[in-house]
Amino acid sequence: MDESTLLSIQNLEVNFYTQRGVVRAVRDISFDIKKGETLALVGESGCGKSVTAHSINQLIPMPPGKIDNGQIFFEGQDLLKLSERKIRKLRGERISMIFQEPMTSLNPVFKVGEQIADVFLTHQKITKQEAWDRALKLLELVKIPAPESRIDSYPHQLSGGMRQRVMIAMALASPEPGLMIADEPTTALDVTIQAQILDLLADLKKEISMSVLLITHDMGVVAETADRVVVMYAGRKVEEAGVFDIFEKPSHPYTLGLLNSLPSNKKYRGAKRLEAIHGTVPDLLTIGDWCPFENRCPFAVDECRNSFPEETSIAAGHSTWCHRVDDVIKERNKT
Amino acid sequence: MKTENNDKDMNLERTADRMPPVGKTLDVPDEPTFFQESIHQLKRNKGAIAGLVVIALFLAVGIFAPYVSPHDPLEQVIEMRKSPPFTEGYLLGTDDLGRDMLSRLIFGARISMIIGVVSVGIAMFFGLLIGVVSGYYGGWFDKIVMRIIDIMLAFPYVLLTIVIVAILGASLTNAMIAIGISQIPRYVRLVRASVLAEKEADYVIAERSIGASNFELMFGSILPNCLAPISVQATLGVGEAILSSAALSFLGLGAQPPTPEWGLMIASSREFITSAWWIVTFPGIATLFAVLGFNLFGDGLRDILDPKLRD
Repeated sequence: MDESTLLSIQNLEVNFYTQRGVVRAVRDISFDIKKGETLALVGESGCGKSVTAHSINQLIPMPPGKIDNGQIFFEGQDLLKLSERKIRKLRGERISMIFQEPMTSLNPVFKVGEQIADVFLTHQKITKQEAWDRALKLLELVKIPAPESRIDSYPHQLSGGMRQRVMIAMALASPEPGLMIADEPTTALDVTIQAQILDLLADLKKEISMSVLLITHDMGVVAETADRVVVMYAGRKVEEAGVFDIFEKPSHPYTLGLLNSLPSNKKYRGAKRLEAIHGTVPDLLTIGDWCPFENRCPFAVDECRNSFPEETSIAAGHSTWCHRVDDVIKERNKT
Repeated sequence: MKTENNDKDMNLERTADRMPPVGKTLDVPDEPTFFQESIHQLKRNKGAIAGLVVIALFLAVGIFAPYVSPHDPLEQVIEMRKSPPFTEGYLLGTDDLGRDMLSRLIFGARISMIIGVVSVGIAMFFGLLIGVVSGYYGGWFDKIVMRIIDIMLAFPYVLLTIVIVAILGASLTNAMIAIGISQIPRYVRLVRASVLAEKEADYVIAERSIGASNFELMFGSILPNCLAPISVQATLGVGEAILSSAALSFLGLGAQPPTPEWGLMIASSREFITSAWWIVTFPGIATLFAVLGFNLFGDGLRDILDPKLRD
């Protein structure tokens, strides 16, 4: 494996064994994250992007979840082969997370300072006072106004944006942050606060040089922050490209649909009404082995209902998984 | 705050003149802490205040029993036996063996407080432990525990206590253990229910993602969030434990003579109820007030700790 690669997921398959049957949440997902890179995992709700991310530090509930296949290499070691103890050490020490709901992701009965200091105390042998001082420094780093008094606040006394800053501070409290998994970090926030949080993340990334796995369904957020994009649909990876290629040369019908349903994309501004992708996501309980987008795809032919397509490489670092990729590109270039 | 001079910061600087510098002089109004808020609520709840005063009184009397009691509770002055209240030197009179009623009640308070605290302590320790583990892990352990709890709850409370004392042998210590054991099921159920609700919370996943172990999650993160209903239950439990120990002692299964235990005092003097009413009445009144105090405070605590009842 390449020296510059921090995380490499290969052929990941995650299933949930429920009473109604097997839910095939993630199927054959592979991607790499380089050091210092921001990779966006894009897709609609329930497409398996969160499950993929939670598989990395093994936070998916097991049972009913089970990682049935694949490898997740983090700095060369396969995380899926590590003991629970070693995984726990990695969580928070090298791999940290921020969550979608800042309102509920902080423990309501402890001061935010205590919660940040706790991360230090979990992973390092330092005194409580030192941990507290470092917590204060982190609150300054994430630009919380009046950190000296905010450190004594309880979560319910803070606004959503401030809580998300506290969450970010907690994620940064690791001794050597390597990878930050940001699970829809801005979804629950106002648009103005969203921009502030994204700016903050970008600043911090420059300062600390860590990699970010950004999970989102917001193409605006992708455009603003990501270096590379993996588009997921119904548990499958359908397209992977650099952030410019995704917006300029989308080569999968689903990516195309996603961009067409954006209100303010320059290239597609001609349309008067927003275009929705018709139909619904297939039920992951009964999903077959063919292309999952087949029932909603304007390009679908019989072949699409027989097999899942092979990888088609369009350019360096740009791949798509579609039987009709040539027609898709032709159609795209018309508009 | 030092930032690089790029375009965005230049824009910010223009508005920054009119705003207080962030992080330095910006005043954040002090919000009341949870404790201050609770005190404020407590002050408005007269029942809880009354309960707290009664509890404090009994606790103080119990702790300083040797200093505040006028006589030795076990000293018998045969010539003074069955003196009525307000006899010189014996404010509440004496019992059938000439022992000072007031001193015996004061030492009884000490014993009752110890019984209340120790039994509830035993019940809470095991109840919390079993309840948290059962709720957190679920599975077969939870199933077995809950069935055992169901069986324990199928016994009438007093009967269960009597059975346990009968097995252990009649003594005050064993009565405390028995009361503690019989109170375990309610804590297990209460804690398990709270843990089941809390363990799905986002903050639990968040804390797991920063490397917290199962033990830390159970007792460091989840349990503190379940403490409000538990503390209410514990306060009410103390009152009930005092009542139960009085009942056990009354039946001869708890404290043994000549211990000045309230229930035992009632039991050993019930034949004088017509001839010397004070010997049997005062321990009863003491028990009544102690239990009432804990119940009032417990109810008040429920109102204080439940944010839904706050205005």
